[in-house]
This record gives sequence, structure tokens and C-alpha cells, in this order.
Amino acid sequence: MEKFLRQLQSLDRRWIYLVLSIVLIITLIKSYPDKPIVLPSVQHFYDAVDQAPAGPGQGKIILVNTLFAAGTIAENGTQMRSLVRHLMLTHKRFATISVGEPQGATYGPAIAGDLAKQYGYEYGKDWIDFGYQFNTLAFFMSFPRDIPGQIKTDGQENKPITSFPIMQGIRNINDVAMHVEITASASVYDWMQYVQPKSNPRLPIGYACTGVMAADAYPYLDSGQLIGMMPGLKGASDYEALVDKLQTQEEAAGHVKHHYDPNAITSIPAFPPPARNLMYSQSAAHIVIILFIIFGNVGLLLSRRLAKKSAAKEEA
Amino acid sequence: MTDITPDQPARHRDGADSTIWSVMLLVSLVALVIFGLYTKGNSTFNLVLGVVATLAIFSILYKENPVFRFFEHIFIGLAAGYGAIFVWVQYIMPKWYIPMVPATMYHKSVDVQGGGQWWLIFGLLIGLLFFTVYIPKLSWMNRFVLFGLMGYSAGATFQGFMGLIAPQLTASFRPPISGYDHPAAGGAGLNDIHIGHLYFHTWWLISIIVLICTFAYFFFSVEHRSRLIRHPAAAGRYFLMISLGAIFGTTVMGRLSLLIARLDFLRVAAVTLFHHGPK
Repeated sequence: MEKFLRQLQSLDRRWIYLVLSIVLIITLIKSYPDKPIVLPSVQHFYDAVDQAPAGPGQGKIILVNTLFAAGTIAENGTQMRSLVRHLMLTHKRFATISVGEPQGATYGPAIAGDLAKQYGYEYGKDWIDFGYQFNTLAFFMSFPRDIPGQIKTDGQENKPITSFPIMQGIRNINDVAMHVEITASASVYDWMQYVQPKSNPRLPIGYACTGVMAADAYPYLDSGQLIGMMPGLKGASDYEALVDKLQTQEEAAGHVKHHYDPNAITSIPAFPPPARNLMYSQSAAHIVIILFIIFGNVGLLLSRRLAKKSAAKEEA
Repeated sequence: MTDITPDQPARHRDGADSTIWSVMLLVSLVALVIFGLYTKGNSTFNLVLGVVATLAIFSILYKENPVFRFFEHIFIGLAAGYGAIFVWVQYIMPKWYIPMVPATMYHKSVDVQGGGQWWLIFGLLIGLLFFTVYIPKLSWMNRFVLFGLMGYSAGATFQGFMGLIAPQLTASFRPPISGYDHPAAGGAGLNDIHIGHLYFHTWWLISIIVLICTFAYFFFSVEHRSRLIRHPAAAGRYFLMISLGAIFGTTVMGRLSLLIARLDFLRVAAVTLFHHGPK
């Protein structure tokens, strides 16, 4: 027993990697959609998108900044997919943009374009791509004042931005109903620092970040600078659950013609499956990690106790 | 658990510096490029390449090896190269180069004429002043652009600081008890206690207690002997551990998501390559 407990204290970390990988592979092969309890910050995000005055005839658009690369596609890609589905189900007009991330400028419009085919969204009328922009101070200073002057041409067809019907009446940041930041970096601070103070009424910012970044953002949620937050895969899973529910309601009401296809995104090879399925794997991984922690700590405590006992015996 | 996997093993053990490995990996890189050009970006080839690259990067989990280093360098090189080309094609060429060149110049690749705005060349010339730092006689010119850049950045940063921090300060000055109507009070109100016409904001109280206790832990001007500082400091230590634990928890969640994405890619690749049922 003592020998086993000692061995447990000096376990090679590669065994942990192996066990974790096996658990993840099994849960990915045999996966089930998670049934999440929706976080309040995700619910606020969802409600803000729902209430944003960006429908047809409302004159505003929702701006979606896609600042992620292949590395975080499990989190940011699934967040983007759920958000765009929500925008399309609620008939919101939106623009994609990538301020400083070349890969994000490819992924964002690719996801929106594939889903547009399924939901019957028309490019230039219902959604548009502002393309890649440099993340310089100059951009953040001039963009809020003059959007067509800063963007000039769209990112897909390279045509003048003002030639698209969606851009009629869009002049400055006050014509943006909501800003959504889907990001793997600390980019949202630039929007809170330079863009939000210039807007009137205050621009609502929704924050879809990776799990690592979530803890830093809570003070901004409390102060109202962020209207809602989708933290990592958990956030994507929660949002997806809300959108799936909306999809079912819309289908039942006959507002949506086609049933949603989870494999709709074909432009990006091996795009992640639904976030709720991934969250199932992640929950399993969390359980494994917790078990290892308990195992290690119990081993430590028992080995100490055995060491004390053996020391007492030797003294006797 | 002790870490018995060597992080930085002796170089001779992994063979990364050996000529045989270097030649083998270089030959495999050339073969990959030739095969990629030959198949013209065939999706199966891309998928197999993705699987090989993923497994090569994962091989670090077993131990440091030259194959991992080789793919690590390819990844960094590709990311840098892709970024540079993308910025040129998507931004610099359509927004600066084409508008600048003469109107008589036709660009076949993007099917547009030049803009003839020759004065845009000054942007490049001003930018080049940064490089005068390498020429001792002309290095004084570097200061002009640095002055401009630093002055502009300082002003904008101050403006940005106020934009970010002012709402934080306002949010910190919420009253602990308010008599306002609940929605107009502006808080989430989920945990507020409602007594008569008053609202007790419990989260405000908790945040103040946590703030004072954490400050007490880091307050070293007074020796931690008195109960007044010893107990709050002890509580502050626990609050710090809780918040650090929360940050660590989200970090683990984020890192696991990356791993899950790659493992799912391997699963999809296996299903696609061997055609076993639906994805």
C-alpha cells in the first residue's frame, strides 16, 4: 500500500496525458449534446442581440469583429456559428470585420457565407463583410466618426462599400446597434477605450472570448461596459442551446423553411461539431482532472499518515 | 506528482542538431511542397498533412524530438508568411498601392486601373525614416517620426484610459442601499434584498469586504499582530486563492478546448479517410 502511494506521488505526467486523451477520444466518438444551465452573462448577451434595432427597416447594423485563428476555432468558431444563426433567425442585418487578425478575416465571412445559404441571407442586402483592417490607433479614431470613409471597399467583392443596399444610412458608430467581439486576444479593450465613449447612446458590446480571458472581463460586465459575455466553450454551448430552442420555435411556427444542418459550414475543413457535444467531452475531461487531483491529494495525506505511523513504531 | 519528463533535455539526446535529421527533414519538406504542387491542394492531401502535423506537434507530450521542432518551425514560418501576404493583398495593395500608382497602369490580378494619387508615396517615405536609425549620419531624422508617433500615442492613450476607467469608477460608487425603483437602479439586481422601499445591494457589500481584506493582506506598513489586521489579512489570503483558482479553472477550460478541437479534427480525418459512417 505504502509503495503504491509513493508511486502515485511520482507518477509520470505522460500517464495523465494518456488517460485524458483516451477519455476525450471516447467522448468525441460517442458524444451527446450537453444540456447546459445558461450563464446569466450569456443570457444577457442573447437578450441584447434579440433587442438590437438592426432588423430590416430599423436602419442600423450589428458589427461582428472576428479576431480568431485556427488555434481557437473550437471556442471562437462555435461562438461565431451560434451568433450568426441567432442573427439570421431574428432577421438582423450585420457586418463582419477583422481588425488585426488575417485568419479571422477569412473565417468570419466563411462561416457567415455558409450559413447565409441555409437561411437565405443575401450578401450586400442582409449582411456584408468589411474585410481586414489594421488595428492601429488611427483606425479606432476615425472608424467611429466615418464608417464608409474608413472601410471604403468590402472584403468579398472589393466594391465600394456605399454601393451596397445594407450601407444606406450607415454613416458613423451611432448607426451600429451593437458590437460583438469574437476574439482570442485582448482586443475588446480598444473598443471600450476609443469607440464606446464616442457613441451616443452608449454602444452595447457583447464579448465572446476564450475561456482563459473570461475572468478578466467580469468588472466590465458589472460596470455595463460589456452588455454580455460568452466565455469559451461553455459560453458557446449555452448560446447554442438558446439558439437551438429558438430554431425549434421558428420551425414550429413555419418561419424557417429548412431544418438546421449542423454540417452547414463546408468552407472550413473539419469545422468543429456543435459546441454542446464538445462541452460533453470537456465535462468528462474536467471530471478526469478532478479525480486525478483527489487521487493525488488522498495519496499524499495517506502516505504522510503511514510515514508518521512507521516513525512512531521505530521509536517504540 | 513530480515532473520526470525533461523539459530541456541535452541536445545530443533528441538528435535535433544531427546532420542526418536535418537532411532527412529538409528532403521531406521539399517532397511535401512538390507533392502539394502536383496535387494542386487536393483535399485528401491537405487532410493527411493536417493529421501528420497535428501528431508531430503532439509528439512533444512524449518527449522533445526533432520532428516536433521541424513542424514547430514550419508552423511559425507559415503563420508569418500568410500574415504578410494577406496584409499586402487585402489591405496595402487595395488601399495604398493601387490608389497611388498612375491611372494608366492596369492591374490584371484585381482587374482595376491605378488611382493616380501620387502623394500617397509620402506615407512610405515617412515610414522609411524609421530605418535611418541604421545610418549614423541620418539617424537624427528618425526622431521626427518618433516625436509624432509618441505624441499621438500619448494623447490617444490618455483618452483611451479615461474611456476605459471612468465607467469603472462610476460603477464603484454605487450606494450600498438605494431607494430607487429596481430597474432604474441600474444593477443586475439578482441578489439584491428588497425591504420596504429600500434595496440592499449584497454584491456591493461582498465586493467591499473582499477589497478591504485583500488590501489588508498586502498592507505591510503595519505588522500583522493586531486582530484588526491579522484576521482580514488571513481572509484576504483565502479570497486571493479563490480568485486565482477561478482564473486557473478558466485557463484549464480554455486549454482543454484547444486539445478537444485537435482531437476532433483527428476523428473527422479518420472518418473521412476511411469512410466509416457519418461525421
